[in-house]
Amino acid sequence: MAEESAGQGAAVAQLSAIGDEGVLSLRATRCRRDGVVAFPPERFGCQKCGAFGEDLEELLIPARGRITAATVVHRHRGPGPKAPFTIASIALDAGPHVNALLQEGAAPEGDVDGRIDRFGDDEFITFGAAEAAR
Amino acid sequence: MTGAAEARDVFVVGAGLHPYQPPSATPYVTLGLTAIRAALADADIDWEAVESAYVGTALIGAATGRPMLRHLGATGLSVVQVENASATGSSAFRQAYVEVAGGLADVVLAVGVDKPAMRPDGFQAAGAVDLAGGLVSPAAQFALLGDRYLGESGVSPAALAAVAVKNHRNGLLNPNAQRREELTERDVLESSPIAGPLTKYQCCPVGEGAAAVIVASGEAIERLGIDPARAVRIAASVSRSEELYPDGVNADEELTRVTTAEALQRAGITAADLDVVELHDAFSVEELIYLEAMGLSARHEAGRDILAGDYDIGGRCAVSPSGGLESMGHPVGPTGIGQIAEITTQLRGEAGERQQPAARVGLAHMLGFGGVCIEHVLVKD
Repeated sequence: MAEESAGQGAAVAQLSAIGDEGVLSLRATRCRRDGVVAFPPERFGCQKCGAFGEDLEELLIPARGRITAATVVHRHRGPGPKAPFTIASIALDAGPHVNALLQEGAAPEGDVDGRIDRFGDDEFITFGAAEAAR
Repeated sequence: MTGAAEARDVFVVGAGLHPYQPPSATPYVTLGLTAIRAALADADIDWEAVESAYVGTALIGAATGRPMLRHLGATGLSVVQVENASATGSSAFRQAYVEVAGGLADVVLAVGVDKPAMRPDGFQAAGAVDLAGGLVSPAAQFALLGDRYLGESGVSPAALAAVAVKNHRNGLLNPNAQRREELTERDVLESSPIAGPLTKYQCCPVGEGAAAVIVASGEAIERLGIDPARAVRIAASVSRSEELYPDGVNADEELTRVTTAEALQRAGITAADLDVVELHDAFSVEELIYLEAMGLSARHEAGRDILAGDYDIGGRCAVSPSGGLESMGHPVGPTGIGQIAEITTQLRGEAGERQQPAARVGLAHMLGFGGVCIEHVLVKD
């Protein structure tokens, strides 16, 4: 289905990787000049110093962080889950802040980690209460 | 600040609007011409005096200027379209200011006109992806900010509702406002939930409309016999874009703080001098956050100040006397120019029932997706 390749599933493939032990990581970039870690990865150039090309290295960061804000979305048009659902702002352990879908029933606070969830033909990286240290 | 010393004084000499309204079959040309003809009549000048035009449109499409402007007489004037997301009108106005301030023209039109539509943006074209993939609408984005703000400040949702009540009360007095409804706190809180603490009446309506402003040099005011008593001076024009802020810092708040500080400094005033402010209140929580970022309210005190009536018409600074984006509406292209029209009317003392007493200094603030922030300070000398 043409829509699927343009859907969030394609973004999930670009943004994440699953390691040997089945643990989900996020694909980020780090600037070799100033150390800025960017997620989503910034391959066009560093927003802080403008370094590009070889100066930007790829790295994997844990899909793990702490919720700083959360909100229930009551109205939503488009693909993905049906409203209501909860979106959280998460401060990733590696530094960057992201907005992401919370798993149904997950508490909107505390430490969370990510997994890939399917919604019909599409998939999203969702977050829920972090499991004990792995 | 380089170059600012050489800029000429520039004045708003005419303003006109087509009411903001839900999408209709009215051609955009009719919307735009209505506003421009009103601005020309307000300035009491002929179209032939206008040397250059900036047409602010974000959603209609390419080359929107000539199909509209030729019907005022194809005089051969310079015509340029300007797009800057929600700040489109503000940037069109700034370009008009810059052209006159730089001495390249004496009389310039800025007109904003739009019809609602969804257009792809630069982030999409650049291939940008994120974890939330379209699940975070602007309302959800500001609901997240609202969640954080309410948590940190201890402000109650009643203060958010008070923003909407105030702005709709103002808009009720504005014949050009799109959503003219008398609302109580309960009406606001019990309207349809959109995201988090934000209900329908705390989210701006996006419709259609037009706003036009004519700016002129002091020489042109004299030459064309424009009434100098109704001319309003542009004391500062500032345009900035987002920087790489520390993780977790709200970009719109920080961008507003930096842009406002520069605008006030250029105008040689402080926030306490502001009599009228029109700001980007697309969502109620934004008004509280920007009032603090601008220095009008102390940190976490904007909610208390709103409830105390500080920002009502007649309060210490009238905020969004037009009704703001929440009540007057946010047709995108016109919005920033509509703010200039409102402040001009206020500083002239011609705002009728919406009049802020003794208003002399006003500030217009718009943010645009991307993000950009454009601010202008207007002064009646």
